[in-house]
Parts: sequence; C-alpha cells; structure tokens
Amino acid sequence: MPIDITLAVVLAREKVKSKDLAAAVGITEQNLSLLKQGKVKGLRFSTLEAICKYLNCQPGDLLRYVPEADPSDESRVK
Amino acid sequence: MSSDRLARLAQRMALATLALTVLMLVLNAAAWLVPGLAGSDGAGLAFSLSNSLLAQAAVDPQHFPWWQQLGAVLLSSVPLLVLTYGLMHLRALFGGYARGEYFAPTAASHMEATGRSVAYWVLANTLCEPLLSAWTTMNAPVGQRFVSVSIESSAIVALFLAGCVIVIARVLSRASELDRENRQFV
Repeated sequence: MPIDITLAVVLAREKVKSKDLAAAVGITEQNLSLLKQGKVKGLRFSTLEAICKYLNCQPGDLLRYVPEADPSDESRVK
Repeated sequence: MSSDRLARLAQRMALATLALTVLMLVLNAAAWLVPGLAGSDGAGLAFSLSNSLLAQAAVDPQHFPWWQQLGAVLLSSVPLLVLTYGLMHLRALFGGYARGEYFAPTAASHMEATGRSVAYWVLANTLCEPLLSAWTTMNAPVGQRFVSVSIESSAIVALFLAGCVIVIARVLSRASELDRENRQFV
C-alpha cells in the first residue's frame, strides 16, 4: 500500500504501550494492531486527532507516502 | 425499540415461523385425511390449493381410497414444501437478527431466498392445481370430473410482494458491503 503507517515507530520512541494508546483513543487493541500493520481501509480524522494529541505528534509523523514503482519509469531509466 | 427488545421480538418471530410452517404442513395433510376439517361445511382448516379444491362438491376425500388420499396429500404439499424452504430461510433471518447480525451478508441471502420461495410457491400452486383437480376427480362420475386452472388476484399480489422482497434483499446486500467496509475504518 502506498501509505506507510509509522505508528509503531512513534510508539517505540515515546515508550507508549499499544494498550494504553488504544484505551486513550477509544479504539480496540485489535483495531490498533491492524492500524499499525497498515491493514485498515481508512483512518477517521477523529481517531488521527486523538492519536496525535496523545502522542504529541503530527499526522506526518504517523503517515508516510511511499509511491509504488512504475514499470514504465524503469524502462525509461534503462 | 431497544436492542434487547428487538432481539427478543426476532427470537419470537423465529419460533412463530417454525410453528406456522409445521402447522401448515400438518393441517394440510389432515384436511385430506380427517373428515370435517375442511370443505364447504367443514372447519375451514385448509390452505390455498387444498382449500379451493375441497370446497368443490365433487371432491369428497372421505370416499377416496387410501392411495388417492395419499396422492392428494403429496400433490397439495408440493407448493407448501416450496414455501417451507422460504420460511426456513425467514426463520434463519430472524435467528440472525436475534443475535444482532443486522448487516451480515447471510441476512440478505436469507431474505432473497424467502422472496424467491414465495414466487416459486405461487408458480407451484398454479402448476399443481390442474394435477390435483384431475387426481381428486378421476373417480368421480362422468360429468363431475374436471381439471382446474386459475390465477387469482392474491397470487398477483404475492408475486409483486415477492419481487419487492427480492429487491430489498439486494439493497440489504449492498448495505452489508458498505457496513463491512465501514468496519475497516478505525
């Protein structure tokens, strides 16, 4: 998926447990785990706001855009 | 209505559906086997196809040989068995609702099966009527034998409602897809 979730990195840096973040944000630990793995369909702004507020970070610290490799670009480079 | 009350209501509807199904099949068979339950001067405990035929003076199951009675029971049960298939799906639908599975994909498929079953029940009634009328009057005196074919307004209404239920089931299927997608948002 082009959107990379770097929540696990922020959690480790801030030394926050997933269980505590889930309780603070109001989502289940299972959903938080899915979010960390990037296996969710989408993220509500309200959830993103709650996470940023709890971890004292910016949305950009949690989400990273990684463009997928385009085969036409590779052939041009060759 | 609270979720608990809704679940209890759905559970009761599931039980009522099962009771209706069993009663329907038993009474239909009994109408042909037990004198006085149906017919023009009977207790009126017969269903659709059986009821319309037992109301005919030429059809007197009391004087049928056992094989003719059995054949009448089986032929008249065919449309009811088709309807039973749909009623079992309806019971399963209520069972799912009782467990809170409002947007499960199976709910939509149960509802569509129920609608299809009602449509096929109307068709089966129409097809079995000439067969049953011929079967029940084949031993009647000459001039009293008949083959009956009919399409009643109630059948048209039932077909229309069956179509509506099928369309609503398709909408419910789409709703369950949206619900599943929505659940993947955190």
